[in-house]
Amino acid sequence: MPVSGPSYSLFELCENIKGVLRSTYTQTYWVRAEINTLNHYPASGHCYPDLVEKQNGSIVAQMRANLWKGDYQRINSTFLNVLKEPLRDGIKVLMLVEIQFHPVYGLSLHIQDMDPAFSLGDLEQEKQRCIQSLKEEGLFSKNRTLSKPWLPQRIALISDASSKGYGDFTKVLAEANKHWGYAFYFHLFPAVLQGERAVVTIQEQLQKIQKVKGHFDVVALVRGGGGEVGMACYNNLELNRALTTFPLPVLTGIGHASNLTVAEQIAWHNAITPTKLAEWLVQQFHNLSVPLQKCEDALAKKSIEVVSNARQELQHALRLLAATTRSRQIRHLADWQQAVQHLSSSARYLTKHHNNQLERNRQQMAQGMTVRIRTETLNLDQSLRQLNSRVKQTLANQHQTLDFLNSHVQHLSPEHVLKRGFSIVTQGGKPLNNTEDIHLNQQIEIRMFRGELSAQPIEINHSNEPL
Amino acid sequence: MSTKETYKDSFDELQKIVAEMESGEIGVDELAGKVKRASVLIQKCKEILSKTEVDVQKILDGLDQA
Repeated sequence: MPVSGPSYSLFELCENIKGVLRSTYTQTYWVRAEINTLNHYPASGHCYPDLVEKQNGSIVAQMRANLWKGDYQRINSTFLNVLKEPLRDGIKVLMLVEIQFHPVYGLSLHIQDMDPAFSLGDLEQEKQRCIQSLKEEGLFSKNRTLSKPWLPQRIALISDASSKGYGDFTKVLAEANKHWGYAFYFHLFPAVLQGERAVVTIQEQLQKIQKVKGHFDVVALVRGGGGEVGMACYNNLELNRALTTFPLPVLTGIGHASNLTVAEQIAWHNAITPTKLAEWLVQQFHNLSVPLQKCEDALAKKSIEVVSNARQELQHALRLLAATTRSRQIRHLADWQQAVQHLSSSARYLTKHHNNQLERNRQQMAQGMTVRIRTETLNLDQSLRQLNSRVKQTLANQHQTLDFLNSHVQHLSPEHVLKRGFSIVTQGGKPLNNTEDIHLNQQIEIRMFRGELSAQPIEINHSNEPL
Repeated sequence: MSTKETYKDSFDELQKIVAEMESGEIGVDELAGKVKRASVLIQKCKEILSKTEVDVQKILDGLDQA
């Protein structure tokens, strides 16, 4: 295509554009944008922020800017003061800008000032949006629905070992161990705890803890020292989603006294400072330990009481026993003495009575004996006399009888019979008193008182009648 | 049995003994036995508060697993 008309060098064009812009944008303007990246160069102290505007997540405008060291320091200081946040990536700002055009660096905005109130409102809105989203997702109270760790003893500690908060936290736990013997175990999961990097590093550590969650009772997010800045990360939706859905109770002690961050609101338990969080943990031990101690004390006290009561009862019983025994002894002694006296007098009476009785008996017996002896003697005498006369009588009678018998015997003697005329007839030496025994014609002997004769039977008249 | 249950059971039993003692149900005869049992329970509870069973190696092994 042929050149028609004048041509310009690039520099001339740039200079022209620069002139147009300068004549058009004669003043400074308040512009709303998001600092996509701050691009702070610590060496020079200058910042070259990349500004964007997003609509529905897509960048619809983008421009470079510069913020010189002096302005940066002043604005950053105001932000830290008002927002508790430094100037950083991702923050929305209302800034006073001058439009610049440089032939080499092109179009840029020279930032002269920023309104912290705008950013504050934006941060607050972001926070509210985070809360709103969590609530809509049903996650806002999710961590708090986890059951209370009965003894939060093993702690997954997300912190920075070099921070003051970490030092305060571990110091309280160490003291609790020293004073009360409470055993805490904590494992440090190091993370950046403020500013933009916090969102990522904390989530990384949560993922690590997730793998070993069985070894821990709670997760503690501990931060402190270095000023309360860079806390907006705790309003980050992603981070809060990770925290609230974590399977272990999340405890926070990130040292943010006023205007709680979302993380502190969704935490299972939040403490104002790391020290307070550690104290809360210690308190959980106290909650178990104090009743235990009370039981121990009550046990000791009651044991002493029971023993002491028993001892008192025993002493009382002993005293009672002693007193009762004494009184009984006295009574028994009296009874005994009375019994002895009674016995002794009874014995005396009985002895006397028996003696008298005995004496009486003896006398009666003696008297009885004398009478008896006398009677018996008389009886004996009489019996003797009777016996004597009876013997004499009997003897006389016997004599008489004998005499009679004698005379009778005398009359019956053969001589006496023969004398009276009777004879004895024998035949063959055998006496005869029956004619039937006599054999005829055999000699018979007849004996008379004086002399004998022999005869011979010639005739026999048997008669059955005796003579 | 978990430490929590051990603690709870021990503490419940301990409280029961203390309650019995406070209500005067325990006489001198049972005292020694009950106190002995209570000491064991107290010891058990105290041990739970003063000891953590953490296997550091297992934690580290778990963290190494990608």
